[in-house]
Amino acid sequence: MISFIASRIGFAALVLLLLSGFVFTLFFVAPGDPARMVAGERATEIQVAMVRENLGLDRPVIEQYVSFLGRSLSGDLGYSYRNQQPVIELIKNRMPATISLCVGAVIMWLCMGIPIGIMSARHPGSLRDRVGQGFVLIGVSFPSFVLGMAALYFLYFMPRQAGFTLFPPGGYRPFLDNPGVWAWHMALPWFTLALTSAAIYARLTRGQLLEVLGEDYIRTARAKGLSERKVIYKHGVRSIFSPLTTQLGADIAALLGGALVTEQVFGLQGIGSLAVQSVQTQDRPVIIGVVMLAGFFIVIANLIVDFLYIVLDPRVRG
Amino acid sequence: MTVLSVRNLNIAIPTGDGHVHAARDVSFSVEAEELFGIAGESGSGKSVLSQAIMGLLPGALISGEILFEDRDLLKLSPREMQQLRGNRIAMISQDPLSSLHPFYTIGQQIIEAIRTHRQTSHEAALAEAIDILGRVGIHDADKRVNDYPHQFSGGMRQRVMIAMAIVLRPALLIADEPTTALDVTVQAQIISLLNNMRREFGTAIIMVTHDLELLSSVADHAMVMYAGNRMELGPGNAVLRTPSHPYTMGLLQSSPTHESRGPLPSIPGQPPSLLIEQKACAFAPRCPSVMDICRTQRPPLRRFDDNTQSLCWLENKAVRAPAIAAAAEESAAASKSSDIVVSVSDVRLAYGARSLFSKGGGVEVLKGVSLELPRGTTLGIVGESGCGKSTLARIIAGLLPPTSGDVEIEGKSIIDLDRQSWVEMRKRIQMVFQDPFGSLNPRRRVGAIIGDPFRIQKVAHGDDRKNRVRDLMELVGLNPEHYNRFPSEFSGGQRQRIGIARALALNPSIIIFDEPVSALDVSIQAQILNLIAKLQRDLGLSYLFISHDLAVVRHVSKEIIVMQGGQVVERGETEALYHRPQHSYTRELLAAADPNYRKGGGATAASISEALTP
Ligand SMILES: Nc1ncnc2c1ncn2[C@@H]1O[C@H](COP(=O)(O)OP(=O)(O)OP(=O)(O)O)[C@@H](O)[C@H]1O
Ligand code: SF4
Ligand SMILES: [Mg+2]
Repeated sequence: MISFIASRIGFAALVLLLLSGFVFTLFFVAPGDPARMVAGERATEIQVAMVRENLGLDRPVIEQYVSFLGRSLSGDLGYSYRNQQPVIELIKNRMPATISLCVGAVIMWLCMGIPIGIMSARHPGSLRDRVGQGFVLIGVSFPSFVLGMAALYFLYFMPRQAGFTLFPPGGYRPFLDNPGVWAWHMALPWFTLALTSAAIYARLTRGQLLEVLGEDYIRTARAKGLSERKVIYKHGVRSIFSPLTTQLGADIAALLGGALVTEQVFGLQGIGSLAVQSVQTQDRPVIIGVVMLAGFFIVIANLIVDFLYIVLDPRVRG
Repeated sequence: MTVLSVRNLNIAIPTGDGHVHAARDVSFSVEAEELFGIAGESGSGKSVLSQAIMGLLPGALISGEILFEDRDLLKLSPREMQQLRGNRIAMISQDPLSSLHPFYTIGQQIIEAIRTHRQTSHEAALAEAIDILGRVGIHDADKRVNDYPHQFSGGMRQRVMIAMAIVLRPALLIADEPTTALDVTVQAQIISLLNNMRREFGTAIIMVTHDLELLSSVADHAMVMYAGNRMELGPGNAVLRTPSHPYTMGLLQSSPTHESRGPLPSIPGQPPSLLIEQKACAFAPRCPSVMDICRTQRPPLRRFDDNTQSLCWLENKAVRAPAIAAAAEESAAASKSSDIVVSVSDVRLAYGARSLFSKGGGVEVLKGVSLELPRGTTLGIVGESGCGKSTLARIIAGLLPPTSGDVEIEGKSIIDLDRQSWVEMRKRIQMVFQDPFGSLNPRRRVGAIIGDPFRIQKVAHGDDRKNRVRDLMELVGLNPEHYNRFPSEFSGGQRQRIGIARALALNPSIIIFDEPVSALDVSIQAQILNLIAKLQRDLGLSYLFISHDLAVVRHVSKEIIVMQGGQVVERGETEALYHRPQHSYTRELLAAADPNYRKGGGATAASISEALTP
């Protein structure tokens, strides 16, 4: 047990190390001279060389990588080439918006998808099931940016035309200033990011639950005289937590991609837009920082999923 | 006092193809404390009947009466039915491995059953759960209540299921094949436990099974079903020893416990489709005594002096069918050559020893096993569950490398084969598994599943493959028209054959059967065993035949080895071993398989269980 946990943590660390090496190499072989970018278009060769030396870009790659690793571990991710701000500061500024967006969206899609899936599975083939299936179809067939645009059009633009404000067009308001305003501003982005996944989770929940409801132990539960509610929720739904958790681990890894698009549509100043800007300007320290941060969260999320799995399934515990 | 009285029950289940008539005009009654047996082939409607009594057949069209404690269950509201279920009527089902919820402790599950029907505190319910677990033979019940189902063996789980079913002292307990999935030694214990419990608590038991031998020793009354009809009803002894109906007779004669060797007199043909209206005797197409009238008019109910009732045109009790002309020419292939196709020398296997994280020595599952299988013959391997039979099979099939020792297939060692020869070798050896249910993908059609070996080995395409698959289906007694069905649409017994068909697909030279027939009805068992024997004669196949059922192994094997705790404790020619067992464990197994043993009841069972507990 302890050894299992230790090995998972060790593995997570290894993944992060490999990721750092990969990102570092990738940006080292990328075209363009970072020293020139920092020095500016009109700098002389001598100025560029000085900058290169200051940034340590003239030293051997391995040496650069090791010193990068060392600094990263102490929380120093270097300075942006573009505006000389510490990368860690830039990221810190952008974190609240992205975290709000992602956490809220995950909660929203779980709260939509799972109940819809359960509703479908309880009465397969019924009208309710067909409504649920329709939701799934709509959810999986629209890309999230289309959804975002549509949401903006119908819930912001049209009401505005009619003379009142239903939802704001975008922007981020800090949670601590006013949670109500925060949630009001986040509602549309959450919905946009969550809908597709909600549909996928509805489908997954329906399929898994239908399978579980055919199990012998569900018949045992009915034979005990339990109410249908208890049979479904206490015995049926309990069994699908594990597959849902597994899926969630995989989806969190893919979440940042969707968050990037959503941030753009709703003008949220988050990590996603930071990543876009820094790629456009070839701001390597920022790109590396963002990638490492994303990798860190994905690895942590999967660690949590692994542990949850142990908690949920006594058979894994041995 | 009559606990349950079923009158003129008809059950039709609507499906995509039409109505499945799973019970037709079935009547019987069960007295308090009685053990009432229901027997019949797969798909005869036994389980549907028991589910109808439990009120667990939503959507079915049910007519007639099910009187339980003077109330008609068919007229009760769902809410009233729910209050009876688990409380006055309880159920235990065939497979104890899957009938308990894997994520709750057994204590939680039993307490839930108690508190659903009774207002008691958690503590009181816990005490009661521990008490009942002790009574069904779970040692250290106060500690084990906190364990999860996977921490118990199959037999123990069935004890837990029984505990959960009887904890509220129901008036009626329905046991749907309670021992089919268990070892023969454990089976006897469970039956004697059920027997004691009904005496202790005055519970009437309906026992559904296809094991006639087992029923004949314990059932007070027995009912035999076929295609939803009640073919025969009467006192257990009369029905199961001197049956009145030709169908019951056929079932009895297919039973491999019979003294004969050589082909079993199986009942030819298949049970009829339940979709069509019956206007004649349902058994007519397969009946050895069939007359013209049987094919045109529904048979009347005959009553005989020994209190049996039979749905049949025959005026007298059925007679034993003449033994099928013994095609007992000792398999020619067997005698003509004596080359060894499988040779296992001193194979050992230890688990855990090489694992990354666990310290110390592992568990030694096989402690030096050697055996030889001559071409064209069958070697039987018997032993209780956990003695390493299946592990040995997997090693011989090349699915699991041994820790030490060597396995030679047709003269070639299979240790350290390169990939190409391994693939070749795997074509030569096929396995028929203990549990084909688990290995059938529920989302794929049966035709596709059976065609898998062709697809993987890239032989036979399109219509050719389809035809071969149909032939295979016919070979194992499946209706080829069911090509496009899903595994879930077959009854328990039928699904077992799908797995067998799949293994036969590539015409291998060696087949390892791992408990191939333990879950089949006797009549189907006989068909499969005969099929297995026929294939051996025709194709010169060599078999390793693993089973816990000595009667079955004896029937097919030339030689037998007996395993216990990872070792071979005895080996020898089948008949010699059967009549003059040398090792005490072999004698125990023989005693457990002997029908008279079960009649002996608890005492023998207890001594065996003692002998088996380390
Ligand atoms: N839910 C269902 N829907 C439609 N048909 C069903 C259903 N359950 C059972 N059947 C059909 O009813 C018939 C009787 O099935 P049942 O399970 O009662 O057989 P059984 O006698 O218990 O067989 P076995 O010994 O294999 O368990 C079979 O033809 C089966 O295919
Ligand atoms: S009625 Fe005729 S066909 Fe049916 S069992 Fe009796 S003898 Fe056989
Ligand atoms: Mg059944």
